[in-house]
Amino acid sequence: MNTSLAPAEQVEMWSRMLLIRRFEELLVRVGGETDGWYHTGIGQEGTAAAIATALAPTDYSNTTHRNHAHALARGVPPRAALAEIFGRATGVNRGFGGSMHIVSPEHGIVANSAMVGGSIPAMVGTALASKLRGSGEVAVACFGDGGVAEGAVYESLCLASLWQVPILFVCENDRTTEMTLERGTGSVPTREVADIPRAFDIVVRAVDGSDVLMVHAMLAAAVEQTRRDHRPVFIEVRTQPWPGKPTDPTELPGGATDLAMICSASAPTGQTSWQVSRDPLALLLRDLIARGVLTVAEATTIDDQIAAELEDTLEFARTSPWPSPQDAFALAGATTTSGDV
Amino acid sequence: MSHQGNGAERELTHAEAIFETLDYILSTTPESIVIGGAWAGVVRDRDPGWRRLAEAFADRIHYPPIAELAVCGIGTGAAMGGLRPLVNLGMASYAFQGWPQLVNEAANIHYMTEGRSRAPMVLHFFSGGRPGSAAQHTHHPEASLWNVPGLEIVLPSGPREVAGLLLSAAESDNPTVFVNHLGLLDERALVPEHPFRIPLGKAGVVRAGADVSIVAVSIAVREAVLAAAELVGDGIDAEVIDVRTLVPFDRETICASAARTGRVIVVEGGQLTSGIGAEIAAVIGSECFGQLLAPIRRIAVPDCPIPASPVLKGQLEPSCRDIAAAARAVVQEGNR
Repeated sequence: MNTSLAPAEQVEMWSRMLLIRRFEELLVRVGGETDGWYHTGIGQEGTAAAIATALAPTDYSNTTHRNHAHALARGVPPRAALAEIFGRATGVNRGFGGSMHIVSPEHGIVANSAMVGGSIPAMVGTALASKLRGSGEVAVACFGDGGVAEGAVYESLCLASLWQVPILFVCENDRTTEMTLERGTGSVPTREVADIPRAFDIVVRAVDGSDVLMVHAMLAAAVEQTRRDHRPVFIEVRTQPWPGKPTDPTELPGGATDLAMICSASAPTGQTSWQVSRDPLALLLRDLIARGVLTVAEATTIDDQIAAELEDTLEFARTSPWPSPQDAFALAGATTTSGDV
Repeated sequence: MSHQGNGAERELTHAEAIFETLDYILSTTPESIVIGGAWAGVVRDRDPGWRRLAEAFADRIHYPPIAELAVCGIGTGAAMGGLRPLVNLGMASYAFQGWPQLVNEAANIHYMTEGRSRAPMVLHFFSGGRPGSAAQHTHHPEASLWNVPGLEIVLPSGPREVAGLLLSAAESDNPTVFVNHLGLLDERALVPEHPFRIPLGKAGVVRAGADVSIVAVSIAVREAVLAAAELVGDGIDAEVIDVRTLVPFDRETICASAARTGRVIVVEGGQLTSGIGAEIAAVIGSECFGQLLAPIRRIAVPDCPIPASPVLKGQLEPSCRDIAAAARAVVQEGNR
């Protein structure tokens, strides 16, 4: 296995993926309590975990409207994330942001936008700030294939390349775009998404999203490269769309993830083909077990610990206080204290 | 086909009224095309009404990728090129993504060419987010757009209005921004069986009253009607005016009501400062100063973004309780 990660780090990365998966499955189960407005990242845990593993804690990243995976991967506590989705005062943004705006500068997530492609220019800006200040941070701009039709993304690619800033554009491409499901086609007519950054003379990489260790290896190399030479890199992570993604309210086709079934040699029953042969979390688990990095018993123990943590998380979110209306005015802008007159 | 229809009416939901009117426009106007699906929100794309429409006019309904800037400009250009595009952006917030094409291209072309080039496009979107939508999906760009000469601005308040106003908007020769509201989609009301037009620039007197004029837009009209019903118990006879269109603006109806009652409350779903209420209050203040018995009250969202938390959203958005309380206050002030 071509990975720079030690066995314990591989297990840690898989555990983060499982935490995200269980968090999202919990949300689907109790989502009605939140008025049902959220986007899950099931099937995209691997990219999020790989990015978080490849970055230094001080590096910058963004989140989008579909952000739970990226937030949890970078270390936002599940309690703070779920309470936020529940609109409670104990949420990471005091219940003001909700599901689409989980953003936590303390965890390197400095920008968020629920507008598709909305925070990509800001991430180029953070990379520019890092370069001009000489402070060494790398920026990662995450978006889906739906984002690559947005004009702001093209202008961002243009300026990132013109000004040579240390940024990774990470496009998770599952070829299903929000609000354009009718078409059944991609967002752009290029042969591949990577043709777009190529036109801007940006270094381009493509990787199979179902091979999470490979995704990490590619990201880790790109992070170090752009930290060194300040040349932007565009990484297309090709993923298989999770079959529950277009449902509203979200459902779990084939049921919750079943580790026993993933680990068993017998033919699975009642599961979708995605669960059986496409799920990056299942593929990495089988790989870790096959290579003796993790045992089934250890995986089950990790799952049990996560279940206990999430049980506490749910109780915390449900019982946390609501924010007060007075708080709604307090945060509309930073307080300005200047002026000589 | 008269403005009133032929008299026969039946109950439709707001969503059904949108689909029926689109059906009529596409059936009778060969130049009309649709850009963008989700005319009654993404969820209702599975409704039989939309499915029928999508199938019947498959060659005239175009689904763009998420590219609002180009979509606003292409709708504008398709209109300049002889079509009558009906463009749906989805949420009102997405208007900001297409802003320059709307406010600086579509809005100006008639003026800059003395009408020799025109952009008869309908640009439709929904204000009012689903609960939890938070700051970025709960915008009300209509007040900002009112500051842009060259655009017509339409805000339907229910199924009947959406049907009558959408047809008029489609027939207008100007770029017309159609600010729909997600919270109205399940409202039911009687709608004429035959297609009918509510003229742009004609406010509706939803309820006649003598003591106070409640001037409201979009979904706030519903709250105003509820407030008026509640105020009957206080012996207050409230008049409810549905503004319907900001451009053209029906000064006559609104000022006549203000002059008659002497007390005015303006209600909107957007933020207070430089909002719709500010402009309407200024118009009434200039034209009816001598007849006013009390200061004009504005009810709007306070000057902060709408947070995700459902309790805060509920408290910040204007409700019938806020309107009724304001009405009691102005009636008292006006009696001093």
